[in-house]
Amino acid sequence: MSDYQQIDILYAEDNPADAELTLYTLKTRNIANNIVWVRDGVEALDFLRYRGRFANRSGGLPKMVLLDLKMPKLDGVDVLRAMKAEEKTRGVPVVILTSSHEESDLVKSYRLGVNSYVVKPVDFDKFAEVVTEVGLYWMVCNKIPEL
Amino acid sequence: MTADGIQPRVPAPTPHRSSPVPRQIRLIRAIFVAAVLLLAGLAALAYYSTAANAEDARWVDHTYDVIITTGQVFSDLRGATATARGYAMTGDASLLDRYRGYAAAVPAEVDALGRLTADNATQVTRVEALRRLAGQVLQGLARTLAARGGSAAALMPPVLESHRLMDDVVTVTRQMQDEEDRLLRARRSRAAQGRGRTLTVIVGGNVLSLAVLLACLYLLTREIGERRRTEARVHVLNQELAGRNAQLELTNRELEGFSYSISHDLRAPLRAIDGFAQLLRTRYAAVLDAEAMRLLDVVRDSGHRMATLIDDLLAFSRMGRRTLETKPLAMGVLVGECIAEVMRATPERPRIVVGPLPDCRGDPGLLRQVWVNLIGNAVKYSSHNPAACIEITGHVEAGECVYSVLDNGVGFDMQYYHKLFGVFQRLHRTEEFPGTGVGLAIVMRIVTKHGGRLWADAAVGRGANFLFSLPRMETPG
Repeated sequence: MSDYQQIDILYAEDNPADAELTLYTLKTRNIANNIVWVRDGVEALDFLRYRGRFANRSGGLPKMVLLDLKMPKLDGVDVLRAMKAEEKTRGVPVVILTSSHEESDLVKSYRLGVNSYVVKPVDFDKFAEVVTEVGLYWMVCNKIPEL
Repeated sequence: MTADGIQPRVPAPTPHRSSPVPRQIRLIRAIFVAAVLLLAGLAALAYYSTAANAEDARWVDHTYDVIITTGQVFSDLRGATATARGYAMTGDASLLDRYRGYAAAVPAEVDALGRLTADNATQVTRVEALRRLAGQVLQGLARTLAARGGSAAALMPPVLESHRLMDDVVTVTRQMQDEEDRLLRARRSRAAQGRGRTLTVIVGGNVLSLAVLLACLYLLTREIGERRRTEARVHVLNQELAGRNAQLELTNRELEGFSYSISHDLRAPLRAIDGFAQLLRTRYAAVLDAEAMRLLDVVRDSGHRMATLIDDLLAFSRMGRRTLETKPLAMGVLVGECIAEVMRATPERPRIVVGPLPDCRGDPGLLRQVWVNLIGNAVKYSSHNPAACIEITGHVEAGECVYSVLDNGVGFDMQYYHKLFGVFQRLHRTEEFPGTGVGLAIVMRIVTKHGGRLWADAAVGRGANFLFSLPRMETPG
């Protein structure tokens, strides 16, 4: 099992600055070590389905998926819909991150079965707190059936 | 400074008036009614004229009756005279029979004549004279009959007397017939005049009615044409309006997209500015001096302030797009909740006095925003006063519910009143009192949306009074 690597979080985010801050927070606060960062929804689905760039990747499904709402090509809601439609990925907890309350996809996301819907605060300290809480809850506290 | 002492700066809403009937329509109605009345009058007049003409004709007939009956009396008397004289001379019995027939008919005929002329005093006198003469003629004839068989000389006096009497009868009957002729002419002429007058009135009246109806028709045609033109104008205007509406909808959608992109795209870089400044601060704490730290704090504070401005601007634009959902509200309960909400967000503890508040209809979510903003302002701007006191009151006035939030804080200079409700307009520096200047603009939008008014009065250092009114809508059911 030397090449088997447990993926903690699949993180889809097109904004590199946001991504760096999120990754920094998750790592420095010891929420997760093995995080895969992809730049859009297509890559996220490729990762989950072992396709394209990730056709030969090792490891199984992530413990959770963190999706930015607004991304090029497929956005967060599209990825969520695709995941919930597939037997294999349906059980993976999905958290959607959004920039503001103004984005009106909250209802749509919950109807599709999102596990959390989080607004990213501008203030970094608050942002770090939110990311930590979400990570802790879904990575540490939440028990999911073995896949 | 009390609520009653404040003069509203916003003009009172114009009273709703029901649209009156246009002058043109009233004119047409009046003319039509006049035509109908005219025709009704004509009908009545024609009826009475016809009745009067029949009366005139009856009088003409009556005159003929008198003339004929008079002639009858005269001819019977002459017949009686001739047959009596013949019998006296010849002794022929058939002449005696005929004489008796004539003599018997005369009194009944004179009686009939008396009845016919009972209305005319002159003729009555003449009928009496005729009756007397007829009596004398018949008596004279009786004497003639009695002298039959005697000498011719014995016959002479009664025959001569009856001749003389018959001359008188001729005179009287001629007078009577002349009189009746005169009456006949007069009555005929009167009947002709009456018919002429009736004809004139009916023809004239009909011509007049026709003219009035034609005027009515002309006005109606003009009115219909006017309406058709107005409808065409309205149609054109409606089309323009629909076009403009479509444009507005497009603009609105663009604005929505705009606010979406503001909220998303402007916040992301802000988050990066704040986050990386913070990273710099924590990761390089060892090599940064106090001044560098302060500069980083300025960067972060500015980012936070911009985030607040964006949020407030979005809240303001959201308010404009929201549709009103009104329902009856217990204003006292709502204000209590709003005070609690404001108190949760501030360390200030001013004295707050709430008077009785009239209930009103309104959108609960939006009015909550109004109260929170006004009470929040009152608390904020009286925070420098150690004896801060806020009074919340309300009353009903001329179909409106008027509410007031009065504080004893720093107030403001009324000279800048016109800037008070503008977006991002502030009358105090941020260092003195934090804020972005959107709160009162939002309050103004909400109150205006409800059909109400918002105004204020204040003096520097003496506090401020903010008032708003809501129309008192009847609760259905």
